[in-house]
Amino acid sequence: MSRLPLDGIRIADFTQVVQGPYATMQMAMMGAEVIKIETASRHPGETRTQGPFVRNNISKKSITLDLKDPRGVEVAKKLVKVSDLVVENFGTGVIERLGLGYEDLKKVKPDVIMLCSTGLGRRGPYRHAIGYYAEVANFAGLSYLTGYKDGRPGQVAGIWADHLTGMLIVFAVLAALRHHRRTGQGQYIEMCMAENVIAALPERFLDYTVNGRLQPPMENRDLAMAPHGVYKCDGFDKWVAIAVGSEEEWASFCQATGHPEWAEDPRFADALSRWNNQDELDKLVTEWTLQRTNYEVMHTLQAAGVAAGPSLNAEGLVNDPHLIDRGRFVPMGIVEGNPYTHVAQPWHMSAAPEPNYSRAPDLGEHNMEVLRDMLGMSEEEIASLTQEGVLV
Amino acid sequence: MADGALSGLKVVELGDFIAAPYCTKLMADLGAEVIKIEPPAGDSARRYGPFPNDEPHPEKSLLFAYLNTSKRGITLDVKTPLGRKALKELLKDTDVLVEANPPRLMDELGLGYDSIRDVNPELIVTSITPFGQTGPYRDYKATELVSFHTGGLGYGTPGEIEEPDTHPPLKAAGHQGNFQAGITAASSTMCALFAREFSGEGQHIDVSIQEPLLSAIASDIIAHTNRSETPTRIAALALRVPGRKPFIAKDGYVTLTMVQDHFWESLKEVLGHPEWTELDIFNERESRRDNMDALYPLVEEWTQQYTMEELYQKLQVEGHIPSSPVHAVEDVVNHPHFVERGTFVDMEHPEIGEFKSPGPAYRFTETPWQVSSPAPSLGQHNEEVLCGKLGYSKDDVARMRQMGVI
Repeated sequence: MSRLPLDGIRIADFTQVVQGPYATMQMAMMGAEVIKIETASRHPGETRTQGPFVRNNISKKSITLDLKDPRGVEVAKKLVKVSDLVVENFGTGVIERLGLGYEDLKKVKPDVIMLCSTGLGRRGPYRHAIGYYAEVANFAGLSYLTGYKDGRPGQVAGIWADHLTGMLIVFAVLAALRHHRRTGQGQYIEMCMAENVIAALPERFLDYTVNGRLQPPMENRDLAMAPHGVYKCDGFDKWVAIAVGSEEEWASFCQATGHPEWAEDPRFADALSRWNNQDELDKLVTEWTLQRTNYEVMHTLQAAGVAAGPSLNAEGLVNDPHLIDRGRFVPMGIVEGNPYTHVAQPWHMSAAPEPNYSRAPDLGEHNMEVLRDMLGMSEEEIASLTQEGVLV
Repeated sequence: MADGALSGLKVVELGDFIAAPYCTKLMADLGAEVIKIEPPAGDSARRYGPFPNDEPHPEKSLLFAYLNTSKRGITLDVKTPLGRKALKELLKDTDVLVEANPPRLMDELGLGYDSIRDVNPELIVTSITPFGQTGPYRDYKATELVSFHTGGLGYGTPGEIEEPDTHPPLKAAGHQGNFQAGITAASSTMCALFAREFSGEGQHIDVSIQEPLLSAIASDIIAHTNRSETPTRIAALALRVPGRKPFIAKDGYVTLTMVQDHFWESLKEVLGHPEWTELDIFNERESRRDNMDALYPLVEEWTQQYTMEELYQKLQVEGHIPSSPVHAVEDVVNHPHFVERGTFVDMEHPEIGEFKSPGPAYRFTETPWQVSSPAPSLGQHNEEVLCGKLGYSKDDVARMRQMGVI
């Protein structure tokens, strides 16, 4: 019970911002030893506040290396040599210019496993495009389909494309590591965020490639279910999502809302009529939800076997009894003067200890530990590198 | 055929629709041997479109064909004792079971983790459910709509709004929450496989479709728990964040980033330094943010003179400004970048014929992603698996079919 699943696996982590760090953090929480290579001056956007840095870099070690200095590159190569995985998400061409591309690393470690991940990938005419989750979601077609019918294209909340891809990176590198364990063979994996977004939206793409159809944004509606929407409830900007899927659920819904007459109404008598008359149906449903809180609606409908739940913002999430019961919010002490709460690893394992929830490292906090104890460099050597500004 | 990264991994799927099938598709296309178990009526994705020419047919669902590549398929009614017996036989020689059934149902059927572990202690059981295996909502139902909103991503989608009463929070297009749950299940299952190398034991993984969504909104959660900021989607009340509202182009929309100083300087250059760019109210990062309402229409006067492609050249290539066309589906499929990358791959299916499908998000140099077979027809591999693997006779299989078990 004392061993975490990825104990003993070491990762040289050259990633920054969200998608890469989120991926390596998942593995750090699972026990992998993740060594984040940073440069103090390198990413002005990645400040050590409670923003993206802390929430995507807990349980890692940090070393600082000036990768524009050949001595810094040498140290990085030493680290790669003793690591199981290398992950990076620089812009296209950057890591090769630093002398740390796949071909360079293969020379020091022939069986290296290396994954690179960028918005539009490392090949193709737009490989040099810069952008973040929003640009990726726009480029891949997700934003166009996510908006109000009467408005401009929208944007999925959160930093969606990064998280979708970060999670897939975990699968990809662990699959490659399994192959390595069985064959001794390393390899290079090219990950493309935009393709990951496309792969997770196949219904829309296949309707176009096969039927030539371009579906409009559907807001909260479904191709077959009705009622299927987000309805206003009692309280300031409170909403509940309701999805009625089958005839049985529709019958239960009418009973649970106290409107058995809806089931008799010819406009709503069968699934097709309900779908065709859903504007009118939605008005009636809203009259009912407006008199109730979103939680009342959820509990009432769920008791009747109908899928429903509140549309929660951050405040709603942290106060939700179910999420609290499942230990989703992990207090982790004081960070930068404020209490820090981490969002837990999104899975539970029956035979593993609690994931590693240790604070994010300070910049270069593990320089000595990694260079001296792991890479076997002498203290004099480390002191001179420090003095000459290589460890910054 | 080259070895896949997951060659030799034996997986059984007892799932439905998207999350579990996507999880096992990720594994199957990397070489795992996946046996998909469907109820005799078939996976519900078989009834969900799109269908070629809009003609519903259980063997022609494009969604099903996409989600179930490289798998073998059998039908088995695990609600019958005979079906359960066959399932348990199958699990004796299996590494991973991916299932997506209500926790209460699995317990009632005697297929809860404790019972399954007795059959094969090395088995990893990955359960994907709307709200997880524990907690007060464990038995609650959800569809994508409910998961997306209870997971916290709907509230801020599609961005700040002016008229909250008539514009509800929105679900993202498609089934984002279900796909992410499938990816999460695949990743966590890999972790359990590494754990098994040391312990020799399997375990039960609990993936709630709601929970991977929370991580994507962690910035809001932390702003609330640590600084008591309450996020709102209502524009007039919102903290000013750099606008993500797209600008109109000649043939669509584009987004661009102009708050940070270096991007602003670069944008001025691209715009050719019109006088208004020197106004005091746009001088500082903070003031640009505060005066976004004034800035937007001025920039838009310029963007609407050009096509999305022209703007890409000006903003990205010349200006090095994060910017993107807002592509419709056809723009994506036909875009030279994706065409050159081979993002959409040719698929062949006995009932559907040839079609173009989204391919993988990754390229492995030594163990390439590959579709080893099209999605199975309903019960296609019943005999192969029940006779070949479990030792039933052809007569047994015929009788099981008559009994409605397969």
